[in-house]
Amino acid sequence: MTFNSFPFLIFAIVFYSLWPYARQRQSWRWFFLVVFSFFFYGWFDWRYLGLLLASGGVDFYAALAMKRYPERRRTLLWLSMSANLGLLAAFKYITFFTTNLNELSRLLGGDALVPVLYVFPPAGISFYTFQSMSYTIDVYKGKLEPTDSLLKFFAFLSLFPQLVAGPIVRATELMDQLDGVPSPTERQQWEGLRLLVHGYFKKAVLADNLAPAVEHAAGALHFIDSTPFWWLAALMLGIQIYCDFAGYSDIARGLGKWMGYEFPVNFDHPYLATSLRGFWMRWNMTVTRWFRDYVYLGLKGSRTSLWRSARNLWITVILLGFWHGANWTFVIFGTLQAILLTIERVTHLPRRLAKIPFLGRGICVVLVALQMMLTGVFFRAPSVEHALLALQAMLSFKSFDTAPIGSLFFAIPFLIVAILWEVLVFCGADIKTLERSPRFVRLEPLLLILMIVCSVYLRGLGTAFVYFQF
Amino acid sequence: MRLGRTQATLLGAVFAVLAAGWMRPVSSVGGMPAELFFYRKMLWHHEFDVVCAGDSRTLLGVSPAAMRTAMSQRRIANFGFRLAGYSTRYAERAVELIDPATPRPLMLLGVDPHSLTTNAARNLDQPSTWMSLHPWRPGHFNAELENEFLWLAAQHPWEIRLQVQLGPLLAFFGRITTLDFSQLIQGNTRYPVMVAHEDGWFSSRFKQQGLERAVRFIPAMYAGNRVSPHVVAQLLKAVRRMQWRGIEVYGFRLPTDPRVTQLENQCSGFDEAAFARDLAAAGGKWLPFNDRDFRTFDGHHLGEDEAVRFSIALARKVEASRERPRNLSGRKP
Repeated sequence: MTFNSFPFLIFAIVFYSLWPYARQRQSWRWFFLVVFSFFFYGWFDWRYLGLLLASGGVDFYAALAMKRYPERRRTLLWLSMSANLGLLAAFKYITFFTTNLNELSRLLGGDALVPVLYVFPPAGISFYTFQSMSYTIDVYKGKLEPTDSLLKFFAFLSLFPQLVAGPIVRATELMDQLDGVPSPTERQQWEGLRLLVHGYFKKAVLADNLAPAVEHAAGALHFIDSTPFWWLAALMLGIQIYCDFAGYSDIARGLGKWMGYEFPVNFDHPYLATSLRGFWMRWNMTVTRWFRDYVYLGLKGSRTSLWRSARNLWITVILLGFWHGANWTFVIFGTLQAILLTIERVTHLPRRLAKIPFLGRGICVVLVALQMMLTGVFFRAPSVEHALLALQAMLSFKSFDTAPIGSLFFAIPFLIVAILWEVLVFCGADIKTLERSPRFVRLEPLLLILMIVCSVYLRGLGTAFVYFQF
Repeated sequence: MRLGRTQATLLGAVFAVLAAGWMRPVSSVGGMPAELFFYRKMLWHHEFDVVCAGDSRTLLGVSPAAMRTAMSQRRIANFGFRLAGYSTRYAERAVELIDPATPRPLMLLGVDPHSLTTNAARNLDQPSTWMSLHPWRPGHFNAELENEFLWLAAQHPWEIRLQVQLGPLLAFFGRITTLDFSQLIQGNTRYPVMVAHEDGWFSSRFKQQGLERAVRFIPAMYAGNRVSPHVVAQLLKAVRRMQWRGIEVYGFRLPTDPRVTQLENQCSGFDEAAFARDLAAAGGKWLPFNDRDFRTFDGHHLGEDEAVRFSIALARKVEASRERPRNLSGRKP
């Protein structure tokens, strides 16, 4: 079930009504969390619970075996990684691999080598396999003591707020919290409410009302060549994906806080970053951090020659792109990001531009946004051809016909609200600063009530969260 | 008992939401709430004598109530969905709506080129069906237009039931669309602009629109997405199965603007005469209509008044071309 569905509302009411009783005793607490989380995930398709059990089971026992047979730690780590990546390959990338293998064979003049298997990836598979792998890797590195309790392990892995679309919570961040009796403080409850309201507003009001405009643009690729239309559509796409995913993360964190658990921040206004590197430090932070710690630093990061450091960056960023989806568009998206990050690293352009008085920071923010709008086309397009068509329209400057923009008008108020929100934060009106003002503290409940009313009545058509399919 | 800040805000929000619900503008969709309307259709089962299937043209263009005025059968349903395509599953689901006890069951297939394309019918007939059925929108991230039936069929049955049971309550919290606002601002005299009827018809009162837009997106719609021989073969197979079950099948094409019809045939490769012959060979009957006899509001769809006129004409044609039931001596009664 999705956070913006009616069944989830009932699920949440039942869960939070029973939680104060269930949390008192440790084994009850873990059992309760596992049962509810499995129900939550099984709602998508109960057969996928087998995958969750398989992925988690391998890592749980591999970690225990590492403790018992330290001399075989490396073999066990490989076993765990192969099992998890194998599941990911089988359920997320198999269609991509078989299709491309056959295409390659055809290019070489041969026949199709293998039957193409159409498999729809189970919800959240990229998130929980990575979370599960991080557990084994941390045990392997000696950063974490493996748990003996299977219940506790699955309570960690399947905790429903973060199960299907992150944030990816590391075992080092959550295992200790699962041991104590969680008791949300008054402050945690308030912050939880704020995150939930902000999350639902971003998802239901902003992302879901921008989505039809983006869909409309995607369907108009073959017959609209107006440059302003495509720039506006690209801007809407960027904001839609941001609000969709940041909204999900906010809701997940809010639900966690109401349980008494703290999850890491996953989005920190990425469109206000003054460099592309900064953007990735603020976008889907837990996944970026995962790739940084386990891939980039695993390859020795930047503590090596300039050439190798650049190579490590490219591998990491292309893999990060490919993690998002089994399509060449995501590989190209990752490659473009790698090129731009390398240029940024070599030229130090953001640092130089930021020195321009008054306007420097603003110019940097706009430049980063432009880069993301251009490369983001590959993120959204169903095929490379579609992406190239859109890019051609954006960059050809052949037609400045403003008439097609009319078809996007209905989404413009929501785009303005989203941009204004970011502009306010850019000007220093972020929540931490505002909290210091007594007037804001008094007004905030009214603001939240208004946002709840908007989330109910101005919601868009309830689409699934974009990141579910990753 | 003293309420904390969080609880007080939540309580305040409940009151504010209820107050806003009372004060909200009239929805642009009259009759049943639009979302409930489609969910209800998914629960129909063995309760009709006549079923009309098809995509948005059927959804907007066939009024069962109007048909009843010219037909002997009373229980008629419009099982149209936006962008529905003739997948095997859709055709079979349409058959499930017919009451097995009805003496002369009838299936009316609204056929247009798009409903016979692979994109319109896709996903449900792929080999890994169990992997494709998901409670979120399949192909949500793809540029192809979506089949609304497919999306609803992928919902959890329990979710559909819940949605229907709590329909009136959910309608109170129905979303206010930008269309609602724009219609209010423009002062549309025929507000609400759409009405969802109990019998499955979605009548439309939109103002007359220019043809330019209607024509412009046709080439793109059929680019790489022409009428699929596979989908046509599947539909004809379904028609034969309907015949075996004793269901009379009629096919028809909803009237569209002549320019739209011509361009659609050209871009999609749809040959209406050939399809009519194939349908007849499969045991069905094709009912031809003249585009010039009816006026669409956007080149593709019939407005409320024209839909009523068309439905009566359709019902009369069906009645006229139906074989009369024979008595045991083989003579017409």
